[in-house]
Formats: sequence, structure tokens, C-alpha cells
Amino acid sequence: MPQKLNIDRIWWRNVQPGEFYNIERIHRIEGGGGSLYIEIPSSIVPDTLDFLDATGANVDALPVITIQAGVVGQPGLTGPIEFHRKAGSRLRIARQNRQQPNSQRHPAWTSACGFPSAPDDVRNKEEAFPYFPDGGLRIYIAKTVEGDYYAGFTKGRPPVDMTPNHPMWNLYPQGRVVGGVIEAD
Amino acid sequence: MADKINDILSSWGAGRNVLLYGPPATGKTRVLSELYEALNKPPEAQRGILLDVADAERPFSRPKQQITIPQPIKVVWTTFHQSYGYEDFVLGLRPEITAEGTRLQPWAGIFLDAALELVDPKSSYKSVVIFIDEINRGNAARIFGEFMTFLDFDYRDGGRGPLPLPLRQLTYKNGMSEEIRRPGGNAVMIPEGFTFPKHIYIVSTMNSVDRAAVPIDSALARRFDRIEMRPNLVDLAEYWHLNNVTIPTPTEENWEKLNPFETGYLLLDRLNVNIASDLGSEFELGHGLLAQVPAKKMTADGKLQPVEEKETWQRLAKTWDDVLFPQLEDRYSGRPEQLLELLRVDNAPPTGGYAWMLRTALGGTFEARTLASVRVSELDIEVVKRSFRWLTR
Repeated sequence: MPQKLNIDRIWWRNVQPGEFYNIERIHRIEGGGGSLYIEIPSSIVPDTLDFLDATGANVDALPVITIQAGVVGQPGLTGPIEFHRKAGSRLRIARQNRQQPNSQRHPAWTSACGFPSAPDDVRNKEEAFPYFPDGGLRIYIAKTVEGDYYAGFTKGRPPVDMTPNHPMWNLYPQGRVVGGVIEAD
Repeated sequence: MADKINDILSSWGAGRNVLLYGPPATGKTRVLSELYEALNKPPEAQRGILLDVADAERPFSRPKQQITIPQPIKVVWTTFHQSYGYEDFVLGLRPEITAEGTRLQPWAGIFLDAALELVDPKSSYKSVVIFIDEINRGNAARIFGEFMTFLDFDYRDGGRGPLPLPLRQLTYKNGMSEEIRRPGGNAVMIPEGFTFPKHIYIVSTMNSVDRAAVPIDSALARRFDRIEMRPNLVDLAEYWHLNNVTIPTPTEENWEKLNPFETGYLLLDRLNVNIASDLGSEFELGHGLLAQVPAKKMTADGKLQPVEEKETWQRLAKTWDDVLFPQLEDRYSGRPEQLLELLRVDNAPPTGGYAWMLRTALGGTFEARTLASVRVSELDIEVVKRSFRWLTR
């Protein structure tokens, strides 16, 4: 059995149905917009900066932080994740729409790894909703004590045999929780 | 429970034995039971996260609980009682009839046998753990005898000042003792000056309330790290699937709306606040006393389903009659006025029937300041509800 890695922290973000639609749809839609990224709201920015070894950095002047993250479930596979600053002291994980030309969707968050997917021509959030997992969708990035990163996701409800002491318990949140960081100790 | 097990392992790691003490039904024996399982199969730790990158479904896990004493561990369980003696725990002499006559054969008790186990070259065990349930039900000072000294790790092999075993019951020849029989049937001899092995650990429980038990003496008590077991409302809330943060504070407006689980939770809290104030916190009622009021029950086809509210009120009443009230009567023995006050006999609800009343003579001419006998479970269900709800305030 391969040796298990010691994890220091797990950063995670609850993906809402609207965000799921935005990262699945055609990138250019009539009437403009919508985001092609996953936003990190200001409430979890300090913890996120800490997670990225940028504790206390001025988020409004933050350069792009790129981490190389392995894929949970696919040993040996890696991909970059870019954290960009955003107005209002927020951050975003950039280029996550899978259909945009310069898409940089992390491989852990693709259908090849079991990540939920909506049809390419999905037109709105309501059309995307049947493809959104019942019980929710979360992305996470785990950081080892050596400073290496691994990305993955959880979907649906917690397995019935999972107890609150399990480190993945908070990756199946109850209610409207935006995300956070799970400490190992 | 996990934090208590961590505390015990931490004490053992520091070379100290452990005494769990507290009122009945606070989980002492359950901690022993879980510790017993943990020693045989270490559970998940409460801290630390491991990642198996190859596992997409459940990649994270907790490391195993670190066991602080050498393994493998032999575990021995015993319960002290009034007939339990030095002969059972340290060394007994049993008559043995042979062709040459009758002689007294030494037999190792549990504690000495633990020492013999660890010096047996054929044994693979590296530690022995002795669980002693109800340590104050026996005469502990008599049971341990001079071996009380060896509860202190300093006087064992590898300690600061190891002492030889003072077993004057044994005869020695050429530097070796006579044969000592062990419970498994083996017989061993020990050398003169034999020192007690280090890795023998004790965890014991003590009821802090029972008047039939004796308090342990200070010489024994100071050789144990004490872990207090208190009634735990959080455990009770978990058992009943209650969110203890949202349980309402009973007020004039809401007390009649409390459900049976909220009522039971608040009732135990109020009784314990009163008991702690009147008698001391060591006399409080353990949360396990309410374990007989389940939130779910098994159906005929093996499925779990919530217990109906009426049935829960009835079970609460039955538990009150059979378990809680006898405990209260015992604690408030000789304090009838305080018991009347606790049950709010002089301050009953303004309307409707109430379970607890003063006793009256049949002629109705004399009212005594004593509680009328009542089986709450035999009262009308509305009186049951009103009475318990009223008692939460």
C-alpha cells in the first residue's frame, strides 16, 4: 500500500448551482456575462492567503499566485491553479470555465475524474440544475506538511458511516456554508 | 469519551495509574469498555489527517490513536467487592494435599501475575493493563497490602529507586523462591530481590456517591491520577438527537410547549443544579440514567424509527418512577423539606393536576409536610407532561 501523506490543512469551497452553471456553460453567451471563475468571498480570504503562504498580504495588490496541485484519485497527474485578486478584497480561482479558450480547469475538477458536468449547450442555471449533485458540490485543495498541494472534490451527502470525527466530515456541510479551511490539529 | 481515553493514555505515558471517579451513570465503565477496545484495536485519533492520493472516494483519514505503552498489551479486568482480598489480587496460599501431607501452595493474584507475565521469557506481552471496576467497593488498602508501594512507578524496575518485592510468605532456597502457581496453570519461581516490572498499568473506577462503598485512603488515592466523570448534557443531547444550542430556556410563555426530550434535558439540568447546591456536585445524577428513554426504536422489519411523543412521555415517567426518583430519595434522605422544594410541591402549576403533593390524612383534617406517594407513570398523560415541564423551571 502506498504511503499516506501527512496533511497540514484542507482548503475547501462550496460550489453553488449558479457557479456550477458558469464553469460549465459556453463561455460567451448573449447579454454578456457571468463569471468564468470560482470566487473566494472576502470572509475566507484571510484563511485562503494563509493557506497559500501569503499570510497578511494586501489582497488588493496581490500578484497572481499559482500552485501546482496533484489530483486526488489520479496519482502522478498534476495541474496549475491560479489565484487572482478581485475587487472588494476578494480572490478568484481563474479560468475554470471548461469551454473558454484558455481554460485552466484543474484536472481534478473535470468529468474525467468524476466531477459533475452539464451539457456543452446548457443555457441557464435552471437547465444546469439537474446535473448538479443532490446534496451539493465542494472543491478542495489539501496541503501536505511538506507544502505540496492536492486537489479533489466531494459531491452529494456524507456517506452514512461517516462520523463527525472524520476529516472529511466538514467537506459535506449542512446548510449554507461558503467554505473554509480544515486544520489537521 | 475520546478525550478521557486520551487523558488515560497520557497518564500512563507519564508513569501514573488512573482513577475515574464520579456519580453513577456518568460513563465510567463505558470509558473502560472503550479503552479495552482501543488497546486491542487502536481507534482513530482526534487529530491529524492522512491522505491516500490513490483513493478518490474517501482519500482522507485520521491516523490511529497512539498507544503510549509498549505493545502487545495483556488486558485483565476485575471488579472489587466486599469479599475481594489480598489473596485474589497479590498472593494467596492454598492448601495442597499430597502423599507427604498438606502444604500451603502460593498462588499469584492478578497484580503479581501481571508482574510474572512480563518476566516470563515465553510471554510475548510487553505491558499488562489491569482494569479495576468499583475500586472502593472492596477494602482497597487491604487488597493491595504492601504492593501499594508498587503502584508508584518510581519503586519499580527502571524507576528512580527500585525496591525488591517484600513477599515474606514465600520461602527461598539458593536465591530462588518456591514455585508460585499462576492462574493459567504455569508455575514459576522468582529470584530473591526480584523487582516489580515497569509496564503494569492500572485504570480503576470509583463511585463518588454510593454510601455502601468506602472512600479510598489518601495513600492509595495519591498514587492515581484522578479523572472526574461528570454528568454530561452534551452526551444526552447527542443521544436524543437534540441540538443543545437551540434547546429553549423554559419561561412562563413556552414551558407548556416543551417536547419530552427538551423536558428531560432541562429536567436533568435543573435537578443537578439543585443537587449540587444542596449536597455537592459529586451527588449529581448521571446522564446515563435517562438512557432508558430512547429517541428511536427498532420496528418489526428491523428499521429504526422515532419513538412517538406519547410513548416518550410514558417512558420518561417510568424512568422517573424506577430510576430518577429513587436516586433523589436516596440523596435527599433526611432532608424532606429540600426534596419538597426541589419538586415544587408548594409552588404547583396554577391550573391542572400536578404529580407531587403533600400527604393528607384520609379524614382530610391533617396535612403533613411529607410527600404523598405517587407513581407518575400511572397518572393521566396530561398530568405527566405538565408535571415534568413545570419541574424544568
